[in-house]
Amino acid sequence: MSTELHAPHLELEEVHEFDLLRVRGISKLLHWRHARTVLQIPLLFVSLVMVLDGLFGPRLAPKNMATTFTWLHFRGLLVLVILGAGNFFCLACPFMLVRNIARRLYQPRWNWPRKLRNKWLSIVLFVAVLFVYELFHLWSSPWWTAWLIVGYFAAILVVDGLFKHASFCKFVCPLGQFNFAASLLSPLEIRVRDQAVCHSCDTKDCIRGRREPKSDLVVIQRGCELALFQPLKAGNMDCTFCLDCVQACPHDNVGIRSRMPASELMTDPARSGIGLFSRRKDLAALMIVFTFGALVNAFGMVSPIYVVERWLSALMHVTQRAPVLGVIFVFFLIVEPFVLLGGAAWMTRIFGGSRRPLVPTAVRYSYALAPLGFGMWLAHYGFHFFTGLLTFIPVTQSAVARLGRNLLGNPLWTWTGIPVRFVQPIELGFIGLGFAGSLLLTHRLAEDDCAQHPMRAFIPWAAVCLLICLASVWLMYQPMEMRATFMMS
Amino acid sequence: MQIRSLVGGWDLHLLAERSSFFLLLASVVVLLGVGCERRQSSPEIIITHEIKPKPLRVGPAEIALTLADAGSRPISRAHIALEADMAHPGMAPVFGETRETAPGHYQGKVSLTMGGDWVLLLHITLPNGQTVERQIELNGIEQ
Repeated sequence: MSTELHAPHLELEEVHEFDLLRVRGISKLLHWRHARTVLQIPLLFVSLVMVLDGLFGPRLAPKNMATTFTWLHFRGLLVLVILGAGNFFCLACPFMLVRNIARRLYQPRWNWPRKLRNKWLSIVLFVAVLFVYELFHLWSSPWWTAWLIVGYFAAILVVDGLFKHASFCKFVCPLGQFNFAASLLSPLEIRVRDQAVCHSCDTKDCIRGRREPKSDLVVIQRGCELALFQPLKAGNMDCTFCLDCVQACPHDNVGIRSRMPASELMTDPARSGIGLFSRRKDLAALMIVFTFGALVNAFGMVSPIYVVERWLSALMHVTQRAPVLGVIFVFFLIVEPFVLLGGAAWMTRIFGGSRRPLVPTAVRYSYALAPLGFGMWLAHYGFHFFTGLLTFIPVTQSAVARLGRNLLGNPLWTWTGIPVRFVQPIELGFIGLGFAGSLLLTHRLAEDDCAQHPMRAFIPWAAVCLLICLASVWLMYQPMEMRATFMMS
Repeated sequence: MQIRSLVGGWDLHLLAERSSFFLLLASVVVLLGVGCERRQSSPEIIITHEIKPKPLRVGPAEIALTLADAGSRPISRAHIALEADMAHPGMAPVFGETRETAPGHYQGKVSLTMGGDWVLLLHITLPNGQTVERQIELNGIEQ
């Protein structure tokens, strides 16, 4: 019996697509079975060096590899690579290399609990990471940054040691969820080349894995561990770019193909391993946390937060930072989105004549905020990356010198990066790009939702986008005041 | 037939089989934590400092230092280089030099370029050539 396969992404016109796996050299490398391992090994090495420097190296963050590499270079490169290409950091994830080695020693037997097969747990962890980052000023602590990395290795070994497939990546990893949300805006996507080939394929190796010819129980090449069946996969959500499907496909029918960024948010097909975006409240919540979390994360770095914290601590009669920060997080991540998105959804129904109930309307449009959120993450992480671009040089020189040999010369501590005056226009560009993307998406959704009065449905959401954009620009021009102390007076 | 005890859907035998791995993992984590407890060597010199203005704001900061040995005798002819770093990585450090104004008394200046938490590093070269590093936290610099 053959299954009818309808490509969910074919609604968009696709001509002259670029395919990274058609580029000579790259194609050969990425089709190689050990391609991922080769990419993971350098990152694992760097991770281990960072952990060692974080635990045993200088306590001052700007002098330590753990803090400098994590909070400047890794975060900056991550968002820039996702913007320019795709989710390649998940591809080269060093945590997965350790997991794969561990899985050679033992195999998990359990399936991930059915009730947890959603994004709620990972959203809580994502918020927890943002909260802990602010509360314990992780950027200023090599020690805690190193433990964060160690904790990540331990968590993946425990989760994927107990549960089958890529449970950690799909349902737990907060960093992975960030990458999934951001990669909705990427220009590259892993996608089948010819649906007709999939239609005639009997083995479905891309999802089942390639089996030993003599024994169907022996898998010689994994299929997708995140339950994304290539012919029905649409977009980058949940895709770690692991290349398992590329290497498993016996017809060489899976490519890393170009597309218009965010185009997957304009349609709402039934996606393999995900379902309909419009019915996934957890994914919508992820988009909200992704977008408003970008503002909170940046707000924690500028002067006004200390004024707000002082005011709140006086109001609440508390001297600890945790409850004060808790109130700020609740306001930014729950109250503010509830008021803004709830209000816009209500107006879309009242003025635009949308027939969707209130909550599904808010869910549907919340995905359109992803470009704005990504724009703010890019502006923030890009700022630190560009202004501290060269700091990896003196930090590495210093680390080598501490080993007893001054092989790389004296540390050039004055080497930092691009001056702020040149970086600020880049930041504005990222926010502007995100704003334009969100406006485009909300307009497209409004056209689909309220064919007769699309502008009436669009205007409330455009107002929400404008507010977020203005807040982002305001934050960007605030004086930075990166304190690791809670000033009560 | 092998009988396995299931509690709340959890296979306890399987858990026991794998407990050795998780025990090993936990041990590594604990040992790493215990093994790398930080200790600071006891100072061989006594340094006192006064930094103005109070409270510290963005701009020039005057630093007055006194150096003495363990017997409280002032240390003259030392060289003290100043370096101030932000608590956050990636920010440009600022540098300054000191001059000796009286035996064991040194004065210098650094210009703090932004608000927030700074760490002032003292790179001290003693008259006998021995080098000593000390750091002073400058928290909550106002804009």
